[in-house]
Amino acid sequence: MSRSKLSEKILLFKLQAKEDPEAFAKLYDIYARRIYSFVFFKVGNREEAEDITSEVFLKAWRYISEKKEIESFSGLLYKLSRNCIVDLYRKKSSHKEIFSVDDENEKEVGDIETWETGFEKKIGDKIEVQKIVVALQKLKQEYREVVTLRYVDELEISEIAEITGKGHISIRVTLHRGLKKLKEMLGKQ
Amino acid sequence: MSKEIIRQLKSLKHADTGPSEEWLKKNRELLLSQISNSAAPKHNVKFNFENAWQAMSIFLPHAVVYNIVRPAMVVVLIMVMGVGSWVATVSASYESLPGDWLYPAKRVAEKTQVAVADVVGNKNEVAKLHGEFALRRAIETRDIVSQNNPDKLQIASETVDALKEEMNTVNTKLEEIKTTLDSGSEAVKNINQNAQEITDVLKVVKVNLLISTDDAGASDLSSQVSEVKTMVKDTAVKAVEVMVEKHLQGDVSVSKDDVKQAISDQLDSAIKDAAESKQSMVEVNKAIDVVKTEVSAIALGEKNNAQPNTTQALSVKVEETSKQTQAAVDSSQQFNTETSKTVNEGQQFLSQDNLAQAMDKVKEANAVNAQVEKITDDALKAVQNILPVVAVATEGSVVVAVTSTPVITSSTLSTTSVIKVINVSTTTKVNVSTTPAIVPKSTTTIKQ
Repeated sequence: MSRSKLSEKILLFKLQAKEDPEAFAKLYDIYARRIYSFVFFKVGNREEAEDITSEVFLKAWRYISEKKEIESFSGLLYKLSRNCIVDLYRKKSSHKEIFSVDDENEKEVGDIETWETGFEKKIGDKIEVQKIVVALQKLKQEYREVVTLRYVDELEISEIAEITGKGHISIRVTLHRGLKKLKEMLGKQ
Repeated sequence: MSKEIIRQLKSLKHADTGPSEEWLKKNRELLLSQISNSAAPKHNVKFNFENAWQAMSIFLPHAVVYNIVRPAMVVVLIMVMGVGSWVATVSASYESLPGDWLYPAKRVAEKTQVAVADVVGNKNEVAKLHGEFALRRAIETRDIVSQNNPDKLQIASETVDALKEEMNTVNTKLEEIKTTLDSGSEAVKNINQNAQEITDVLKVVKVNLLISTDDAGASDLSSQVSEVKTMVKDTAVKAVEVMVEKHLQGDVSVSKDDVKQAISDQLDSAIKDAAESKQSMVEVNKAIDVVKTEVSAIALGEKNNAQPNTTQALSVKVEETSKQTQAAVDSSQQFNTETSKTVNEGQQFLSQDNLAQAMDKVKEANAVNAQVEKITDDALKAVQNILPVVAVATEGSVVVAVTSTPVITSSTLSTTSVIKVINVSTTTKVNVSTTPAIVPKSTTTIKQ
């Protein structure tokens, strides 16, 4: 068990046993950036990413206050982020039905294009990155999520399993297939 | 190729996608103020198992804690509670006496202890345990005798038998320790101490038996106790002997000073026993003399009466017994001198560090004492025969309890003899203070 994992578990224990706000603040320091990036990849918008990140941490605190069983704090945060993002897209799609705004809102839930447009500018001319972003864009939603969680966010298989609500073996298989598909695509390119 | 793809994917993370530091700080403060409002008021959290599982899952995988450790803990708790209540029962039973409902638990626990020590292969521990249990039996006998239980003689007799059995085992174990090369002096030292304590306890038992009971069975029990007491004394001597032998063989688990102390204790107790035997015979003799004078006086007074025979016959018997006790006094005095001499020699050997010869003197002194005790017991029996009396002498006081008809209680206070002869059923009540006086009244009360 790595040192950071151990300290995360100790903080989580303090949080669960004593509802210690200090412990929660420390956990925030550890995860806020990662959660923000994770959300930002999906929503591609700073304001929305900030709102969702705040909401996620607040929901996590409530979750702990309700004494619900938690296996991993990071897992919980990613799961909550995922739900918040889904909620956001739902809101956007209903908004679209009413106002039928611009083309950007027609994009699929969790669609990589949403962040890719803003993201691409920042990475600039790195062709390598562009290639992989395009490949990810073409990848099936199911594969894309697991691959990004595993390699971009560097989560453990068990955490991804918790976030997505799937079994470990299923995650491994999806990951393997996703990588294979990505390899094929990059080979073709 | 896969590695390359993974590297590229990871590089996405390092792109400038993070939040601004300013926002992070602001959001942190906002979040903390929100949660401190909703945080539950602090209270002392008592231990609860849920926290224990949470704490455990810091180090063990969550699934292991909840699916393996938790159920295993339940099983362990059940077992602990089972064993715990057993321990509680056993510790409660330590105070129990034979005849109590918890007593079997005490004996079972003892047997378990011995069995465990036996399985472990610790012979010294087994010997030590038997010594301790023998002491327990002696104490139990003492406590039963001082109770008012109608079955106490029967129960005490059984307990004395158990004590005898323990002593037999102790003797066997001593023999084993003696013949093996292992160091066992510590256990032997323990046995010696226990044996001495048992002797003291049995002395008390004998006195209690004579004072508190007027049952014919008491006499049997008393001789049974005497027998075991002799056995215990022999064991104590044997234990010291083994200690000396082990010491001479080079066993250093018990220091030389301890061995010397043990021999010295034995010599002291030999001289004490000899003195006690002598003292008790002197006291019995005094009592018999007083009785003799009284009975002669009564016999003289009744000479002209119609039925003088009973008292006269008694007078003759008392005369005979008096002679016997006098002889016992003489021989006990003689033996006492002999014991003192032997003990002195023993102490001299001891001061010269001659352990083996000092030990021989201990044995000698004990052999003499055994003879004295036999003479004393015989004399007491004779007294019992003439007056259906049981007698015992302790320091400065003699108690003579008559079992069937006359009850005589005598105590000597310095030079003054006080004797009370209480005839419960028929004839006389004698109250003697400084000079014996006869109160020819038939009464059941006891006057001082």
